[in-house]
Amino acid sequence: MTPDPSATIFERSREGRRAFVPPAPDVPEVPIDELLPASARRGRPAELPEVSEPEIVRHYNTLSKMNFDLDTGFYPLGSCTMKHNPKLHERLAALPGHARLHPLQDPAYAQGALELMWLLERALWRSRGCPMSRFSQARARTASWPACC
Amino acid sequence: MLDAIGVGSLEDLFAEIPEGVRLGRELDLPEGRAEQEVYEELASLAARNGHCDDEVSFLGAGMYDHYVPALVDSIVQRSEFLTPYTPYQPEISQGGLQVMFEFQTAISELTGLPISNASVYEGPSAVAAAGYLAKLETGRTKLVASRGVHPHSRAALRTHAAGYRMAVEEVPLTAEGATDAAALASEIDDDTAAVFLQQPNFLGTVEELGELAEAAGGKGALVVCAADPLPLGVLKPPGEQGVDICVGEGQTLGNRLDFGGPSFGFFAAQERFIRKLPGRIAGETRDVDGKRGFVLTLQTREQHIRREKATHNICTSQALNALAGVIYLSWLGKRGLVEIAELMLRRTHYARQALGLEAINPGPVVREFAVRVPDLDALFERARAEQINPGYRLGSDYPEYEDGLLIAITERRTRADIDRLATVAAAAREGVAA
Repeated sequence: MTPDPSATIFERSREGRRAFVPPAPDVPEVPIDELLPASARRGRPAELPEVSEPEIVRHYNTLSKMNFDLDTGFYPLGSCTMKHNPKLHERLAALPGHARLHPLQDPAYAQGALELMWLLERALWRSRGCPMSRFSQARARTASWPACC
Repeated sequence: MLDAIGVGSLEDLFAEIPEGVRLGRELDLPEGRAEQEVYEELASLAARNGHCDDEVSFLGAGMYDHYVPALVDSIVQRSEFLTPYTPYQPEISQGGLQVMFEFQTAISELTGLPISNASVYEGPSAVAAAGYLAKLETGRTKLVASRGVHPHSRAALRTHAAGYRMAVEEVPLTAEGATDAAALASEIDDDTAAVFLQQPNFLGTVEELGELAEAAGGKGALVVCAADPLPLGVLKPPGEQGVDICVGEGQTLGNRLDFGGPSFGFFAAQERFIRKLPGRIAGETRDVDGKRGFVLTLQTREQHIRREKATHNICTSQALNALAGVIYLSWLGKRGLVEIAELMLRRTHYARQALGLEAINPGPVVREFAVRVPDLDALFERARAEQINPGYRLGSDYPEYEDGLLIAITERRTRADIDRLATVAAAAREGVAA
């Protein structure tokens, strides 16, 4: 049966259901109150949903069908022009050498990532004739902020 | 195409652009290549990185090597979540807006605060945004931050504060690696707009949040706490300890490390700040047929509605990463969040004992702790030879802990991993082969 699309994931919760199974304990099960003082300990658990994996999948799949998207049709926009991103990008970004690399890794062990950033900086520089580019800001509007300070 | 739109040449499309600002040449970019060739080149760059499948990593300091379940990828890769535009048209965005609403609800539950936005970019800029909210709320000019707050967050706070003419004063840590409550109390005055704390702090110390918040509240300063989400499975929510605004880094909730690439920041607050919150808020409403629907709401806070009165310049959110976050929290569920936090708590306790190194912060910790290592170079050399990354060197951020090492534990670091690190550390100490 197709789930009621208007229910939230919280409303699908049923006590005792679960998706995550923790790894088997392999260190001594020291009582929590010996490791944390009462003043810091959480009283009642956060009321997160209690649902199984197939319920989570059906819920979000159903929600996804209530979105228009670029893979379905175009958006006639100018300021946020929506272009096709080659599907290759997702495969490359998911390679462990990119996806599983910690940002604070010793630069000697991040040479591939640093060279990639340097290549893109140069491409932007060359396409624009600007002396340098900088990678730090997530969006154009936040990039303008340090430039104004 | 030119015929279809009734234009003679490509040049005609740019006729409106004045001659003086035209580039006048081709873009100096390499030629396009076959997909396969691009793949080979960028995959070869990836192969030159030392990543968390290659090494047993105890590196944390704000982003952590957690296990992301497969269902996150399969949902997040759906075109309908991956490729839509921002949800300004609610009629065609109900899926994404409901996701935002559910995400906000999950963050409220975690933090113990009733209001949450739909996400911001990452943790440090969320901290900085809280400073601006404090300025709007109080009109005061000073911000006070504990040195227990992540160095990147303090740096982001300083950058933003300089732009709107606020000073940032720092408060030191005690000899036990916790925020110095007395120093905090004496730094806070009638011109203090907000106090910034972190839970657990950068060294991993569990702070006495209630007491610290009380010191701040007495002078009318807002209390901002940057919190690590997974330890909130065992730690009292900041909203129940006098905290006004709780922000944090969301990478650990279903997102990848990505060399620090896209994640999300969360921003939760007490009810009275709802009209000053930065960023997107998804709200529940009824459509013309009386059925439940979701929309972006309270948009007069945003710069595209009221420019000078906007509460922030962010005009978007990290919707895809926040989707991964709410899927992950649903996957963990009410009991799973407690279980994963308790697992980290016990393994961290075990690691501290097994390593037998001098503790910088001997008090309670949940998933990270700091130790002094007499010869850090020797430890790193031996660890690297065993494909182990022992952690984060504190010296560059904390000159007072020049010989300090920050060690992070996640549910992926098994007892066997920890025992290997302990063996390497012992060998380094004794100057013998491990």
